[in-house]
Amino acid sequence: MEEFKTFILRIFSIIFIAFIPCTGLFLVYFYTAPKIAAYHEIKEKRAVLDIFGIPYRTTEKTVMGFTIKGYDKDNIREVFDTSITVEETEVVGVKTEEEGKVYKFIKGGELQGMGFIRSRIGYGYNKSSAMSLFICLKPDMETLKGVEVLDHSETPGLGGRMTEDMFKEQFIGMKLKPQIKMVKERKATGDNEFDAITGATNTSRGIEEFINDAVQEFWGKSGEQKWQD
Amino acid sequence: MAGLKRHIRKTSKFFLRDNLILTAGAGLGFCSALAVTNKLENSLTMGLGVLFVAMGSFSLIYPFRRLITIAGTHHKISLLMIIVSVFVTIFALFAQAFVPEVAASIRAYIDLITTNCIVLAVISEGLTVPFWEAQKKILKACMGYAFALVLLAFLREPLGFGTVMGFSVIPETFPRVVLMVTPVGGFFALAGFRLLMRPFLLKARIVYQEAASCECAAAESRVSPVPVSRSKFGISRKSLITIGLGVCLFISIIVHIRTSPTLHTQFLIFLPILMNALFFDGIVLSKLLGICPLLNKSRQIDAAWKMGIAVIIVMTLSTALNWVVYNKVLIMGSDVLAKYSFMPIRLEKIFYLTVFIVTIAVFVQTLSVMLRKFARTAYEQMGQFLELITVNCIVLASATFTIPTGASFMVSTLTAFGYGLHWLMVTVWLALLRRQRLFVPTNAWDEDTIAILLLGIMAAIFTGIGMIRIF
Repeated sequence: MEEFKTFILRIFSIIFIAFIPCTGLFLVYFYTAPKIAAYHEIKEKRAVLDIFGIPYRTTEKTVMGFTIKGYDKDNIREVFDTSITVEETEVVGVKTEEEGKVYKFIKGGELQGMGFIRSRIGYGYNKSSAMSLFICLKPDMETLKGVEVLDHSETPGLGGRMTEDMFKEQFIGMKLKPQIKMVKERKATGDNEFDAITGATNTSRGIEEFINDAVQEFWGKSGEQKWQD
Repeated sequence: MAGLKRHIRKTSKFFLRDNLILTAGAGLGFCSALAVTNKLENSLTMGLGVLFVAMGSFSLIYPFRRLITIAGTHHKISLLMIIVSVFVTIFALFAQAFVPEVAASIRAYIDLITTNCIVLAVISEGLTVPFWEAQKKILKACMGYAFALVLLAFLREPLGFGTVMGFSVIPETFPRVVLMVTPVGGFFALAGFRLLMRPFLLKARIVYQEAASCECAAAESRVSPVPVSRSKFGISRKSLITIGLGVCLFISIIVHIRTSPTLHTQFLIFLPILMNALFFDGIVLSKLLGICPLLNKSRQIDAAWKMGIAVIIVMTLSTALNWVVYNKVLIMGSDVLAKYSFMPIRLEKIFYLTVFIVTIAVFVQTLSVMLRKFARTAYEQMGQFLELITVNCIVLASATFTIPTGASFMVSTLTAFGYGLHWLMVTVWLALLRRQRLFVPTNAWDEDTIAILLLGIMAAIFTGIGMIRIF
């Protein structure tokens, strides 16, 4: 009985002690949650705008010889709302609402390109956690307009380098047929080849498979293109 | 001039003496030190995080120190970790709001400040001394940690990327040493750093040179207490045959698995995940976690086996349990809350760390009670290791790496099992290597340095395997 009493006492006291920082945690959460959400929203919108080549206001400051780049959040939201049409499509096998969205850029009555977000487990070096890409196609549906990495958990500094511009620029104008290919130990030559990240072959291969699979899925469901060739 | 010199000497001694990463022989806090130091901004964020978490949680815990110290050693650490995890979440939220890019790249390691050995060590040590003295000690330990991280980052980032804080400092034509920014480079950088500094540290008497004979005697006396149980893990002929048959059966199942299509599809999904967790993306050699218990337990082969088996059991089961708690309690709870509350509260983003810690602690306690009741011999063999496991960062890591990303139950459990096996494999391997005494170390500090170097070589081998495409 005595033992039970101390046990209960201990449980209550730890709940009591943990209660103090937890209130702080709630406050911090309410303070930071909108900021984090805004960051992810702006990141997504910037990725879309960057890939379609739509200009938005940027700022450049020079401090002691180093240039620091910034951007205007409200401007990005405004430009995004005016130029991009978001269509909600119903897709089989897609879990979240996010993935059902198709972003279309229409300029002068003509479709310039369309993009979609996919996040999947089982690609790249860290196979047990999700990688999230924004993939954008040209209206002919066979050429890549660009790829943006939204989320990943690759090794920092190795596979994590896939967020660098040098790597992402390779995908612009790449042919998706028959399949895109990663090459290593030589320069990419064909229009469906890209260079692997040095030292991160598995990540590069993950991206290759990811894009191939995602595009295949996208083609399959949009009905405008047959996969069998 | 002399005053300046004295200042420099004083500052360097403040940072270097008893610096847990660079000069102490305890082998604490290596995990995050190796993993995040490939960029300077990551190191600074991590150092700040450790400082904030240690000081904040200590200030909160100190008034209740009597309550916590009477709980006994193992309970004490669990209780500390619950408080620390709340502070870690606060810091993680701030980091995500203000330095989102850094936070995105080291998110996993910010979560793991909860089980950072340095934080726990300084807090539990500080509970026995007056408040300000303890704060001073915490400040010293955490500053030393941050200092070591920054030093390592200054070595690794310019060599690997050619940048410091994202600004280019080395011309483009200069070759980049990619090894330095890989996980393997972390081991080599730290071991190299320690070896380079060794003469200086010996001269400054920060590290003491012990007599070699003493060390041998100590090692012998350390091995001797457990000679009885050794026969249990030795391989007899019977068990060898059993293992051989098992391997044959396993291979034949793998070869013939195509005959059953449903099993085959499952197999094609799950085998790469297991192989990945076991070899290519292992928790020690690629994620650089669980190094502190690894260094300490690999001094004896016997302890390595027992600890490894305990780790496998606890990791697999607790991750399975954590998956259920996270997906069925936290996410469903916040879905229910969303209907009634006027503000969007996502419980799984606020309390996941605390809940994981509580689950692990409760699970380990229950398991040890059950073992004590029903399997007395197993408890006598494993009990002491079992209770230490709550502190082990890999148990928490196997939960935080897989579950919040939305992995399915089987995927997270299998990954945890693979991580556990990987840890056992590396520990036993390192214990075997260290037993050979390839290099004869003269003190505990040297011994750790050499162990890190050996780990680096192992990691290099495994990264090499990871390059080969199997599927």
